[in-house]
Amino acid sequence: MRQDPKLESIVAAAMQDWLSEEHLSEAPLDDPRLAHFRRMAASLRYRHFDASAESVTSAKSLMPELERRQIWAKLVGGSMAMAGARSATADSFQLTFEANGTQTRLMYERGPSGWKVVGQAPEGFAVFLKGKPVRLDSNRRFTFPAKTLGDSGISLMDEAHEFLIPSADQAEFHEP
Amino acid sequence: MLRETSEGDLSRLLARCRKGDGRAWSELVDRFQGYVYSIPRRMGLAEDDCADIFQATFIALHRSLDKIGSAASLPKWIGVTASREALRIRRLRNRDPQRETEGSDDRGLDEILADEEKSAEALAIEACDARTLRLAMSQLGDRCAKLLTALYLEDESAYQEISLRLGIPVGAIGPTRARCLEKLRRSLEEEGFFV
Repeated sequence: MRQDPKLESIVAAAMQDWLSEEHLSEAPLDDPRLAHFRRMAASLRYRHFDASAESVTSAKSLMPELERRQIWAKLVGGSMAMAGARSATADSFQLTFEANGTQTRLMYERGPSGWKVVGQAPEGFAVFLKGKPVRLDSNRRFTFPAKTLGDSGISLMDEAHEFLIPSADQAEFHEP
Repeated sequence: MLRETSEGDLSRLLARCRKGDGRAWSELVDRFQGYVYSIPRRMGLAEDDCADIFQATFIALHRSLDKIGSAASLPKWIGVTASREALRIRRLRNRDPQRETEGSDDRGLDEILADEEKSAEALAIEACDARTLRLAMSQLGDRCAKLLTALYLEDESAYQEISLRLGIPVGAIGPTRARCLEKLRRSLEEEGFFV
């Protein structure tokens, strides 16, 4: 961002707090950004409260979680057959898994601090890593970091199924 | 982009809730619990009333999942519902039997409800703005997200403590804040926040 000498005084005029004192007198009050910062100041100062755990549990119970059919996905294709070789020698590879007729391809890329896993969720499925949801983009693609290949196992869920995709260091080939 | 990562995600979540996916519903409750609860708490209502308003809002949402037009309208729908309920409770709590008997309140019930509806809209917009800003903040770079969170979203900390914790010299907090807020402003402007 280019240096903007007026920026700090415009922010000071909007925020009107202890960080602003020195700049208040220089504020250019006709700058169009001032109205934006004032609106942001109101939102920044909107005090946020969390509901109690009991209230949250009670709200969640309005729609209980279904019993899903858990299915271990089978490894049916990919660029590196030997599980043991994946972490030892490869910098990138891909694996294709199949469960209940649904296929998912994952790509694994080694980086300086571990691995990056990239995939695309099948239509209607959500992706979970260690029980936490993984965000999908508008094309249902997702990516997440994994310190080791042992941390790359995920699950794919729709309302009736949970497909368990094993970590890349464990998955062994099955004939489809 | 805020919309792509957050609201596209919300659209899928809403679709899954409509299919009866309890896990998706849990995620929705987690996402909006603070948003809903903050509305009556900020109005100064008692905690018991806030808890009742919280439940009433999610019950209404559960019943209306198929009627909500789109994920984009979901935050405002939830905000208006919570605000309406909070204003209704506040009206009931403020009712003064003495005044009612003497008939000194000139406004009819229709007018009171119309005023409440306008207030509910305004409260919902305020809550939506704050939510949008928090989401945008979470997508700033780590340094800016941490600084703005420390300055505005946490309980007040002395600037020396913020300086030590974040490794920013005290004299640099002001200029860094300005740059981070400008970054946030540009992100919000791209999303149409100021329109």
